[in-house]
Amino acid sequence: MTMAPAPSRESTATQPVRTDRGLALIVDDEVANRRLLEKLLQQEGFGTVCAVDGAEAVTLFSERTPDIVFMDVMMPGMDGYEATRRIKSLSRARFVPVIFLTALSDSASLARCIDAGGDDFLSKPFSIEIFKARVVALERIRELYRELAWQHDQLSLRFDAERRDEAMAERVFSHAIAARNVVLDGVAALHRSASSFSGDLVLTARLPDGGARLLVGDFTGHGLAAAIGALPVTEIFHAMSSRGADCVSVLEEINRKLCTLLPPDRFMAATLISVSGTGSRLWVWNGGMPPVIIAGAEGLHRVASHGLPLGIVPDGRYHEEMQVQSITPACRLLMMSDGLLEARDRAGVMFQAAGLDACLDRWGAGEGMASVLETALEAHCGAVAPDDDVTAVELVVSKALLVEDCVPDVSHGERARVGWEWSVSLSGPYLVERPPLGMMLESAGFLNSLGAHIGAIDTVVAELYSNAVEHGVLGLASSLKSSPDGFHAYYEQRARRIAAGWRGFVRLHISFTPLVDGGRVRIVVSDSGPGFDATIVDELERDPDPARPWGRGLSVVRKLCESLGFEAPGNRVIAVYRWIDRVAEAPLEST
Amino acid sequence: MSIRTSIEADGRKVVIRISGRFDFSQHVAFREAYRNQGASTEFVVDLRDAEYLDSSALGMLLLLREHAGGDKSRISILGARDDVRRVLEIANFDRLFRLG
Repeated sequence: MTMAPAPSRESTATQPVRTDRGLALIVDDEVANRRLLEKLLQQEGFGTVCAVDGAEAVTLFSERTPDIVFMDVMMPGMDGYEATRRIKSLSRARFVPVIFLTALSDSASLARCIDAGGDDFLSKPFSIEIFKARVVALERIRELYRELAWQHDQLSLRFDAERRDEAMAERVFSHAIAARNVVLDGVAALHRSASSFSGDLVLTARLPDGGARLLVGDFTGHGLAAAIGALPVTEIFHAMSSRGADCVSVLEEINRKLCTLLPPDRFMAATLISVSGTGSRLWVWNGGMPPVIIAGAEGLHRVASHGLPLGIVPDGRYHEEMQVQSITPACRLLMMSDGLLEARDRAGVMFQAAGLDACLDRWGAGEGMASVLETALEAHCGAVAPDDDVTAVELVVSKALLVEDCVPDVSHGERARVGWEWSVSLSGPYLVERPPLGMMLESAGFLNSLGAHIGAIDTVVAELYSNAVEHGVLGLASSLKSSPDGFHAYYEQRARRIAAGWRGFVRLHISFTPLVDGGRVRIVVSDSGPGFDATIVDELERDPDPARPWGRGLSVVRKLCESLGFEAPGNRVIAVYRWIDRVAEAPLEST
Repeated sequence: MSIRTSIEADGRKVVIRISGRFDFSQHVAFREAYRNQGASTEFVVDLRDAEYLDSSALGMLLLLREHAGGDKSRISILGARDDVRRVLEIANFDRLFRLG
C-alpha cells in the first residue's frame, strides 16, 4: 500500500488533485471496505491509516493524530460507538470529525451515531459524489473550529499579556508612587481596587513650612495607560512640594506635562489641597472630582469641581480658581474619587444613592472616616468588586499633622516664598557658551520663584558674566571698543585668545530671599583673572556719554539693580536685584 | 446603544445623536461620525437619548474637539439629561463646548 496519492481517474482536468487534506483514519473490520475507502481517499488527496476494530482505532488516533475519521459501526470487540466516544474524549481540545459509514439504516441506529459523538453518518451503499460532498462539508466545519481555536489561543495570550501589564502597573503604583508618599499623621486613606487596575492616585507631601499637601487624582483609562501619566505627576508633585513651590505652580507644571504626554482623550481629574504650617490656612483646588468636603466650626462645606481636569488645555486658570480659606483647628477634610460615589451593590445601585449621604452626615458629626465609610461601603458592595478604583482620603488638621519650627510665612497658594542659593562654576568650553540662566534655574526648579523678573535678572547676569570672561579671564580691554575698527578688533582678539587656549573659570552664585512684598536676588560673579581698578568704572559712569559704544554694560546693571559693588582686587562683583510685587495678595486677606 | 449621524445645512452641520450608554464601546462609531467631516463643519452632539456618560466618553468628546480645531463655538452638546449633565459639569466641559 502506498501513501502517495494515486492519480485520480475521476477528477476532471480542471480540478487538480489535492494532496494536502491531511490524514484519514479508516476503521472497518472488512478488508474490502478498507481497501475501497483507502483508494478513494488517496485519490482525493488524503493520507490514510487503517484500523480493524475500535480498540486499534483509539490507539492509532492517539499515535497518528488523524484529521478525519471514517468509522464502521459493527465490529468485533470494541464497536464504532464506543471507539467514537473514546476518540472524542481524547480530542476535546481539537475538532476531528468522525463520519459513521454503516450498513444500518434505521433511525435509532443513526441517532446513536450522533449520540456517541459522531459528526455525520452515511448509510451504505452511498454515492461517491455524496460521500465526497459530505467530507468537504465536515472539513469546512473543522477549519472553522481550528480558526476559532486559534483565535481563542490568541485572545488568551493577549489576556495574559494584559494581566501582566496590569500587574506591572500595580507594581509601578505601589513602588514608584506610593513609596514616595510621606506618612502624615491625621491622614487616613480608604482604597478598594477595581478588578481591572484603574489608576486612582493619592500623593502626600510635607511642605518646608511644616504644612502638608495632598493630591487625589483619577486618570481616565485603565492599566498601564493610567500608570504612565502617574509617574511624572508623582515626580513633579514631590519635587516641587519639597522645595515649597505653591499649589498653582504645581498644578501648572503637572498640567503642562500631561498636555505634552497624554493623547487628547486622556486626562487626570484631581483635587489638590494644601494646609499651611500654622494650620490656619487651606488651599483647595478641584478639577473634575467629586466635592471636597470640609467639616469646620460652621458645619459641612463643599468645594465642588471648579476647574478643568489636568492635561486637557495647556493654559490653566489655577491662580483664579485656587480657593483659599481660613480654617480652625481640628478642621477635617474628605476627598474622594467618583469610584466611591458609583460603587455598585449586587443589584447595581450606586453608593451615592444608598447611604453615602448618611455616612457624610455621621462623618460631619465627628465620626472617623474609617469607622463610617469603610463599614458602610463594605456592607454596600459585599463581595462585588468595584468597576472603578474607589478612593477616599480623610485629613484632620491638628498639631500632629503639622511640623513646628519650620520656615514661617511660607505661602502655598501664591508664588513660592522659600529662599534658595544656587551656584555654578564654568570653565572650558562652557565658559564662553554659558547656558541661559533661565534654563539652568529651571532644571534646578528655582525658576518659578523669580516670576517675570527672570528677564531682568538674566540681563544683569549676562553683563557681569561677559565682563568676567572678557576682561577677567581673557584680559581684553574694553576701551578697544571705542572706534568701529576697534570694536571689530576687540572681537577678533577675543576669538584669538579663546582659540589659543586659555585657562580660567567664572563662578556664578545666585541667592534668592523671599520678602513680604516681593523678593531679593543677590548675584555674585567672580573670575580667575587678576582683577582691575574698580575706580575706572566710577569714572566711566560719571561721564555718561550716550554715544559711547563701550563701557555701558555696568550702567545698565546699575539701573536694574538696587546695588552694585566690586570687591578688591576687582575680580568679584556683587549685584543685588530687588522687586516689589505690585498687587497685594488679595486671596490671602479673604476668609 | 447606537450612534446616528445626520448632516444638515448643506453639509455644514453634522448632528451626532447618541442613545444608551455613551462609553468606550461607542468609540469606533463615534469617530466614524466625524472623521470624514472637514474641520470647518459645525458639530452638534445630541445626548437626549444618552442614559450614561463616562470618562472615556469625555475623552471622545475631546477628540472631536481636537478634530474641529479646538474651537468652542463649533461644537454644541445638546439635550443632556441630569445624570449626564452632571458628569459634564463636574469636568467643567462648559469651557470647552457649548452646553445647551
